[in-house]
Amino acid sequence: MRRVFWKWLFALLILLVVGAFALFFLLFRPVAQPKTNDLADVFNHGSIGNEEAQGIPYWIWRVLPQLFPDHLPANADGYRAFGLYWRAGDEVPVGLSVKTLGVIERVAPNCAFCHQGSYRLRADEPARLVDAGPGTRVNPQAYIRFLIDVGADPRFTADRVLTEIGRIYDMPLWERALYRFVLIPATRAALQDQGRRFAWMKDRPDWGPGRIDPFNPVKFQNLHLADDHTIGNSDMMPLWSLADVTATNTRRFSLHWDGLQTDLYETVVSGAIGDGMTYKSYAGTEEGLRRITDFVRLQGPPPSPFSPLRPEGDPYHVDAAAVDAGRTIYAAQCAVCHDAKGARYRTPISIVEVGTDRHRLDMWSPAARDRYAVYEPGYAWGFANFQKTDGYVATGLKGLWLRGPYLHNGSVPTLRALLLPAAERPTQFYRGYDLVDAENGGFVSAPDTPGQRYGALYDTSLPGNGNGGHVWGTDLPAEAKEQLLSYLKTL
Amino acid sequence: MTQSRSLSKWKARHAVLVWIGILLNFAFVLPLIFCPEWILGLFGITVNQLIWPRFAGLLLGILSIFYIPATLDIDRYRVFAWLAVFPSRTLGSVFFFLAVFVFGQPIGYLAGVFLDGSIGIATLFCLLRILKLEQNISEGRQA
Repeated sequence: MRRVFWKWLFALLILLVVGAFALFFLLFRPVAQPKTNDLADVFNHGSIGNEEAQGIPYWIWRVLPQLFPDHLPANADGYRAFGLYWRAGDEVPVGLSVKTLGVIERVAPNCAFCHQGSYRLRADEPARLVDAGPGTRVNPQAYIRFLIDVGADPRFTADRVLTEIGRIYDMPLWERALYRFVLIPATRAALQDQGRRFAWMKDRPDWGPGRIDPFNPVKFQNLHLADDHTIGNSDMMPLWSLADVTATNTRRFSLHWDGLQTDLYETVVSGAIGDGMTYKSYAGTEEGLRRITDFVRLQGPPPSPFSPLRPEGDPYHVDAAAVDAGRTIYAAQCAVCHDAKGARYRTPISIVEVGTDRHRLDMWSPAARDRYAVYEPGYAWGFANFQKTDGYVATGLKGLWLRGPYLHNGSVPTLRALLLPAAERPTQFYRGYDLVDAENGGFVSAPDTPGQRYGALYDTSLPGNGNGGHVWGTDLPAEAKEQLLSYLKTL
Repeated sequence: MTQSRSLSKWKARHAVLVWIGILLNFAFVLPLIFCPEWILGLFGITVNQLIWPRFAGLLLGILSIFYIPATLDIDRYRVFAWLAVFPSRTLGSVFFFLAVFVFGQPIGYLAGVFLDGSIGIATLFCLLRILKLEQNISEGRQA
């Protein structure tokens, strides 16, 4: 061959090696997060391997609320607008991880984004974080929409972003160049792509705070199934005491509202995949995912504030005799499904029997089960525990006082309302406030209360929001209902 | 230094570099065959079926053996020397570059780019020098 060919080849090889070296060290080299023995910290801020797919360069992420306040939901500022709990001194709110790839820190959501709870016992006290709790205030759809709107906004330019960053960080020249010519254009393109990938949300009811459509994104983006127009809107469950779901020789326990999985670790891994983890990052993330799994196996809810030991007149006082009587009713009517030793615990109860809104059930289709079981072309995850069921899982009731609103879609605002016949349950209330409703169990959510000011309207007439079904306890005499309510508040 | 002495030195350098490449290849060959999970785990690569990395290791070993003749007598086996650069080292490097940056494979596969690329660059440089010196000699030019 002519010498010129070999000279071109020589240049190509140099370009490949130098280019790979530069890309590796500047943008892709994964730097492990600082080690910690605090499993709660791993859960709240640990990486789930999605930084390359979902991670926003830290300094861009940091200034977006200042640059685009008009795209934030009303009534709040900064990332608190999405209901995220931000502990003083933390680099980012709970539910976001910071991991360095190359020389750039990236911010990406993790499990705690949705699975974080908060509460207040009095209106004038600050909210308290509940690790792995139900995402009472969190609005993941608002966060997704904020990022999509920012990506589509013509004001998202390198000049504006770098000027805003310059107000809080004296960025060196090389980093400014990297942001200007690589990271800001790439982030804008990625956010615009996110807008296309989530276009299906436009013709469905809003999720609202505390809720998510968990598997439709996976169906459309990972499993490449066609849009079937199903609605999966449902509450974000607390991840407490999941050691209870460890399979035995004779029983398997179901996870997710419709029991579509029966293995905890597969649930964690598939959850991370849904949030952007790929097998590319799996090897470096596996240890963290196993620690997250350990955390949710062991972590329980905080003790209930409702107690007979509180002085009479205290809003969280419950009568001891009523609690005892309520416990008896619970054992007779509820424990078979909701107690960890109950025969139907963590099993799907047929939709015909439970009678609640079926949209979430229909969202997870046999086709999705089949496709996820062999996920994914080019790399086999070996999922063996996906299933399609015909009902909703009877979950445990630990921390029930923090789990409001109730039912899988959060369609019943309080425990008291849950013991009413479906026709008498509230049809409109407000979700997203974390002040405990001491009288009714759940959170303050009625119209003309602070729940309206801080929450978002929930309308049971919308598809996926139905509040029917789960009639157990609704036919009890009034006194028995009060006794059962007293007991349930203490769980 | 005469052109012929310089030519011999570049041929020796080429042989040494090819042998370094062979040894580096074998640093992957044996672990790939006997403990593939361990070696791939070092590079953050997870595997489902061990037969394929084992087979790849075996092929890499066989391929490396074909580099040897040119180190023994580069004049007789010159074509082996060129083939070792193209397609062998070149396509190896391109394959892993595209695998990582285009097809989303784990970053650890960049080891293939660095190994094949750097050995390819070094040996190709030697071959181009050898070619140049041989032309000078055949045209009667002195250094």
